[in-house]
Amino acid sequence: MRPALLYLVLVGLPLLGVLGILRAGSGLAAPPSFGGAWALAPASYPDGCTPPAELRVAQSGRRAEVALGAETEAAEVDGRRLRTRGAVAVRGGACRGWRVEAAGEGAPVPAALVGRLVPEGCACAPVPFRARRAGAPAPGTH
Amino acid sequence: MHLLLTLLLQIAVVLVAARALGALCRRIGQPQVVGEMAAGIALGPSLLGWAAPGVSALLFPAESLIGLNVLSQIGLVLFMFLVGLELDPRLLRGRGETALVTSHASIVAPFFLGSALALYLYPRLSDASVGFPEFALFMGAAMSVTAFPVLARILTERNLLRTKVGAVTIACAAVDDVTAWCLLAGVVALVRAEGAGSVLLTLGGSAVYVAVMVLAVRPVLRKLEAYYESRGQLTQDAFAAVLLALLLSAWATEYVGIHALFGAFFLGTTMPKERGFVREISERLEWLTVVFLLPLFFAYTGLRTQVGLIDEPALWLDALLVLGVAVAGKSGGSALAARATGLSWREAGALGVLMNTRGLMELVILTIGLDLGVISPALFVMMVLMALATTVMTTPLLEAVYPTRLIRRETVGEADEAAFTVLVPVALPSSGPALLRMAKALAPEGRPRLYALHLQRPDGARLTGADPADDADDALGAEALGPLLAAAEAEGVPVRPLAFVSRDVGEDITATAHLKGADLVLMGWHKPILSQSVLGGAVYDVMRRTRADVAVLLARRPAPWRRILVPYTGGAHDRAALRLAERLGRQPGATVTILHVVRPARGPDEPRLGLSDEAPEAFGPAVRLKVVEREDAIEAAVEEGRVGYDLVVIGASETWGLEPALFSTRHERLAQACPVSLLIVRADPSRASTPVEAAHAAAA
Repeated sequence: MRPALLYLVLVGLPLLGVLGILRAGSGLAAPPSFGGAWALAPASYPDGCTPPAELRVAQSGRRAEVALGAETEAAEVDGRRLRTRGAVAVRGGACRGWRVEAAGEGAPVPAALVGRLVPEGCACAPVPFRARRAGAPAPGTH
Repeated sequence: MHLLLTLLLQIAVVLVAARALGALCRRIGQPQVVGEMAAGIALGPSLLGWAAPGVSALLFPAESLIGLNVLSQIGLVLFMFLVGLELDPRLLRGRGETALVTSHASIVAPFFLGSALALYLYPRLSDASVGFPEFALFMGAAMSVTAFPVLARILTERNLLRTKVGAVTIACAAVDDVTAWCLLAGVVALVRAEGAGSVLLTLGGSAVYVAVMVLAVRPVLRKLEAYYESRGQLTQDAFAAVLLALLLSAWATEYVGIHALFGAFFLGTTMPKERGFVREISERLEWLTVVFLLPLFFAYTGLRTQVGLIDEPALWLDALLVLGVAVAGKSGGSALAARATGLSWREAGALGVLMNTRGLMELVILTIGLDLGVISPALFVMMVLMALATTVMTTPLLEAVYPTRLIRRETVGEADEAAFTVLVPVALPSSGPALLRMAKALAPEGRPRLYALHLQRPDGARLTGADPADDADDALGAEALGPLLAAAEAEGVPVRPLAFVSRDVGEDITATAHLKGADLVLMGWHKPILSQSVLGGAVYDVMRRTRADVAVLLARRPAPWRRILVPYTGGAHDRAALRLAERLGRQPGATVTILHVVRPARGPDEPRLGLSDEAPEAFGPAVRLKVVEREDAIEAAVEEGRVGYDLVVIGASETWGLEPALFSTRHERLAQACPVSLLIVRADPSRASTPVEAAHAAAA
């Protein structure tokens, strides 16, 4: 095969294919982005039931890891909702850990999270919260 | 713990782990970088954090990682500069359409498949903060990369650089690296851009940067090189100027919106490539970077690699899919293109396997992707595993597709049966001239075919290997072979220099002797570290394995060696010594004395070895035979050697107390006591005339 033709087949065609892929993928939607650090602003709570002040999310598609300090807990992204599988362990305080249930406000990168922290291992009541991103949302902060 | 104390402890642990696993990998035939990458992962949450969370938290507390990160980033800047520095445009010269089509196809094919894979992975493993085009283009670029430094090392170690496959592969890898980094710079610009105006600014800034580098910086670097040439050495000021250029280049590319690493890489490629200048800069930076800073990068990467994130069968299937696409795209694309341009299926397959090596370069790109948020932590883990797997599979797959024996067969093709071929392995530069003169003296009637060989152990190796286009100026061997080559030039003896990285010096000398059809392997003597023996260490290995005569020169007197003594009692090795002495005897004015030592007869029935039965048929007129009856043959030889000789040529046999041994502590009396130069000869077992002698020679 002549070199020019060979080049066209082996290089040109796949390049056209890449353009086709970019076009085809433009209609795809990825889950909303919860990744990054969130500053929690909890509603009122009784003494001894102080919830954590920051929430960190590392997201991989519909799966995430939520941290309320050093410990992490697996979470799932379902539509606009973020929910931990179990309680995120915390050190100190009356409660052993907190489950996180939240939903994002704003699309496709939520600017705020609204939800509640459900305590475990204590007699505290769930604490509603509203969270804002701590710092500017970097593109794709997972 | 204080931040500095923690950092110092972290560095120590990382270095120990990297060196230990690196050495282990070398031992099992894998590139050292595989062990270092594995060490990084082992120190992270995937192993240490999982098995001993307390230790992990103590060693690598989250708040302390900033120091490790800064050091690893500096390491990457220096490393990318070194990679650029090693890319020589001469690699591409004369490679023709095969390299052009293959290199471009080897980028586009994995790029296409990587982008296609993005259609599946984007909804599953990404999120809406990243657009599909950025994600797909990044996946394409990440799939396209080839680990140029690791590849060059593998090619050098397997002696592949001088084959067609090696030459095309190294050219393709060079093109791939430049292209992949340009693609990545584009993706980074796209991700960081905030609107069309920002994209235009980045594009404009990049164009200005390239123009400044080519039109302004490169001429300045040429002047710096001329300054180096005039001084004959790299001054501290010149070195500081290069570092300053590196920092400014990295800063500029970071500022215009592409990555700092691109600036480091681009400066490396822009540097003038005259070997002395580049080599000195490399040598000053390389050890610090490769031994000290890069393991920190591996550790920092490992700390961010949580294999535990892939905790479902479906995710492991995704990881396998990533690996499959990576291998199919890179190996398949490269091999098909190489086959279409005329390489055989076997050669094309080997090229595909080699191009699939991703190694450290992949980790660098992935780290950028993770930092930018283009890929998620789980996808990062999958891609890191893919990088590790593709690097690990290279050596065994290559051996399966293109076995070493075929490489040897391809690289032989140079033998001229008529010429006396001598392979001269050189470890110490100072021993080279004497070996050269001995090789010349052994072929006085014609020019010997001489190969000067320098082998360098992997831990002392350069980032890349020899330049396939330029034997004589080979960076690896230039220093060690320099004095020998200078002596060869003065004596008018043509020499073919060879140099490569070797894990097993004895084995590689033997293999090279076989490849080059050597009649004789001529070595200098250097006292082995673990032995008192002259014939220990690598000499022992070579004597044991080589299918050629092997001679070891103890040069106590300078050339010319004209008065030659050959102590003789019989046997294969003594006969080999006689053969060499006969060659030396052809020098003008040379005389050979054969000292035939026979034991005194203990009775009328005891047979006595007769020289007439054993000696070569024809010696020149300058041969003198001297027969002595002595119980102690060694003493006889030493005594005779004291009387007016320049050189004693002697067989490596038990009779003379000169048996090769790996860790011998025996006192080699003759070698120690002989006052003149000594040439110890061990016969090629395949030339021994009787089965008994052959067995003896092989056993020795």
